[in-house]
Amino acid sequence: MKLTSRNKPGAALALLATLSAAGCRADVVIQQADLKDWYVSRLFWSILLSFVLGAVAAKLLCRLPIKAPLLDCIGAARSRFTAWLLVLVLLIAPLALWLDAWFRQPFGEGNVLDALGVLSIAILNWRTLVLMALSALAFYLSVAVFTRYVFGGTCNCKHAFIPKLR
Amino acid sequence: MTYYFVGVGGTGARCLEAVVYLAAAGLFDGDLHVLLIDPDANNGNSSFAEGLMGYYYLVQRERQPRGAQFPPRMMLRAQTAPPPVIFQPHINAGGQFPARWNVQQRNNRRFSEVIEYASRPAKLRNFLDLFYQSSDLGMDLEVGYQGRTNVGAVALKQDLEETRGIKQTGLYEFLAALTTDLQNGEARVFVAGSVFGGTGAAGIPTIPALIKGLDAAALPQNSRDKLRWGCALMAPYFIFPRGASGIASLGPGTDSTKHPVATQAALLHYAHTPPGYQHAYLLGAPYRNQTNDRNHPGGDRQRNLPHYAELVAALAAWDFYSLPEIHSEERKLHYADSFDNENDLGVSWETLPVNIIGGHARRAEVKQKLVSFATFAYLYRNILHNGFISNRSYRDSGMYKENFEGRGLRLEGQAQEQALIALDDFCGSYLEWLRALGRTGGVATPDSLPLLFNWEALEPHDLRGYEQRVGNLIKLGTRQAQRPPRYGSNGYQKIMEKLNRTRLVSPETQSAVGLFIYLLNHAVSEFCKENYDWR
Repeated sequence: MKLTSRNKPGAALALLATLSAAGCRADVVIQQADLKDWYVSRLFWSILLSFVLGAVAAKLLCRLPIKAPLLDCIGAARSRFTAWLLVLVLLIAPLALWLDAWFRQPFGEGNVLDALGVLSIAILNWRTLVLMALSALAFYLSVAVFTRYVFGGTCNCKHAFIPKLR
Repeated sequence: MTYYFVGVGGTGARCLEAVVYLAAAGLFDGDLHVLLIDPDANNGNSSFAEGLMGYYYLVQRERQPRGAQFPPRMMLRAQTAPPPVIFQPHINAGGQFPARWNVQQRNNRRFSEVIEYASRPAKLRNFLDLFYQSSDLGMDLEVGYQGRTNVGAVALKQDLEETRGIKQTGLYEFLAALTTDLQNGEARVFVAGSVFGGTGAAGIPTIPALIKGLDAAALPQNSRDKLRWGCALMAPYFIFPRGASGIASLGPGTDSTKHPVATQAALLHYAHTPPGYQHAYLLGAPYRNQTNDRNHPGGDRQRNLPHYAELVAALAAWDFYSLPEIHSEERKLHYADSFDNENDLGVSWETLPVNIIGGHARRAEVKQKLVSFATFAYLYRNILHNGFISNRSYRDSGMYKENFEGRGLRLEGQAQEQALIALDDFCGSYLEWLRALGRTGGVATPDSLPLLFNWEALEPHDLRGYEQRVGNLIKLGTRQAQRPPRYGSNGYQKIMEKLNRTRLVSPETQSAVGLFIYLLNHAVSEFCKENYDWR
């Protein structure tokens, strides 16, 4: 299949899901409970970080200029938000997870993994998909709430993420 | 209160056009009843003014919110929104009454037929020959009086008297409204026309005489005493090329080189036989620009370029209407110039003539309302309109979501679209008019003050050009030390921000177009105050 800009994110997710089967090696080296604890702690931090990043992103989106002949910058705000979301979810979140696991080696004494080992055992895992999804959700909610309600009075894209019901 | 305005001849039509723009910009505090008197039924200037009023009626009938409120802020009480400013006065009761005198047009009517020359005794014909040349007697009245005041003075009065009792001639409705108003109090009538041409110079003394000639049953004496008259006597302010343009058969034609002499004669006549105006505004221009590249004695091709003198005439009408009190015996001549110790200061906001009483505030009001309306027109015409009609670009904006959706108001629909197109046409005419003012009054001299507008910004540009210039329509500071407006380069952005952040508690109108005009103008006025540092 030829990868186009449209199906790239989907293909990446499919690849990740397929490779997550390799996570079964964790049973061999790492206690399942250790891995779960680590994921839960990372999940909390990633949601928090995504929410904070969402607030920052909202501030930036609210300042987007309105270009003639449009009366708003909703289209520009949505496309920029989508780009940031994809970078956050597909790049920053798994990369941060991988770097965290590689440098901090949090799976107990004796379970020292090299970079590739961390990738195959700890990152290529269905839990990573959950973390990515929840990060995306937190990021979206943060942007939506901040653009609409917190910066709403001075925001140029107030209605971009929580459309007003007709 | 209703103010009455009569434009006589082609120049009167041009003055009426300026009056309509000032009314749209919000300078008049009452309604207007206007009448355009021109025997040249197809005159290009008159037709344009009539078309412009058609746009005005369509836009003005879109009711804007009155008594609306902004939502409370910081736990304070809700604030009352300012009343609407632009497109407020009713003109001719929203177009119910004709604005143009419907002369009973008879083709190929010669002046000799009007005075029944052929049937007069030989002795009287010889007497008439002292006043009229054979070309005057053979003149076709279809295109007006072609600078012949002696012809117009007779023919116009006769034509007016013939039509004053006929409904839908405009004159009948004008007189009916005037007599009704006079029963309730004072009524002010302002007449504008040239004193160098045929129709205007003849019409200026004829209009008061016509009213005076009404019988006591139609206009009782006590009502007649409450009538107040003002006029703009337009002295020569433009020229056009000499020579006939293929319709010499219509009569002697027009010649602008004779305007100064004709003016002198007319003014001398008015001095000897005062027409009865309480306030006369004598207007003109020190340098006469060419406002038509051809010589058209009349007809649809006589469409002269607008001139700043017509803006001054409209300001004279505004001044007359806003005078606190006018005594019936009062006689005042108003005039002004733009010279200071023989230095021409040019046409600027500082030299536009306004009444000396409260002059500073009045000058600021003129400037602020015209610039604000120019910004509104510039923004809507050049940037917003196409997107509104072609792809409803307003749909996702905060302005639309907060004030229209969920309140049963929609800008979609044929009636709304028609009103928006009329608004676009009106704005286009206003901007074109401003550009033309720039051609006549936009020349800077070493001594001149900053000109009325930044004329370069009003020229055609692409979309980006308009976006960059919408906040830069006037220059600030002195000619030697100019400073840019606060949002000179990002005016569009700032106006849109203000527009999208304006929310009314309830729309207070059923008209979506009226609400949109109100919101946009509110955003533009607030923007202009900040941008141009108006306090």
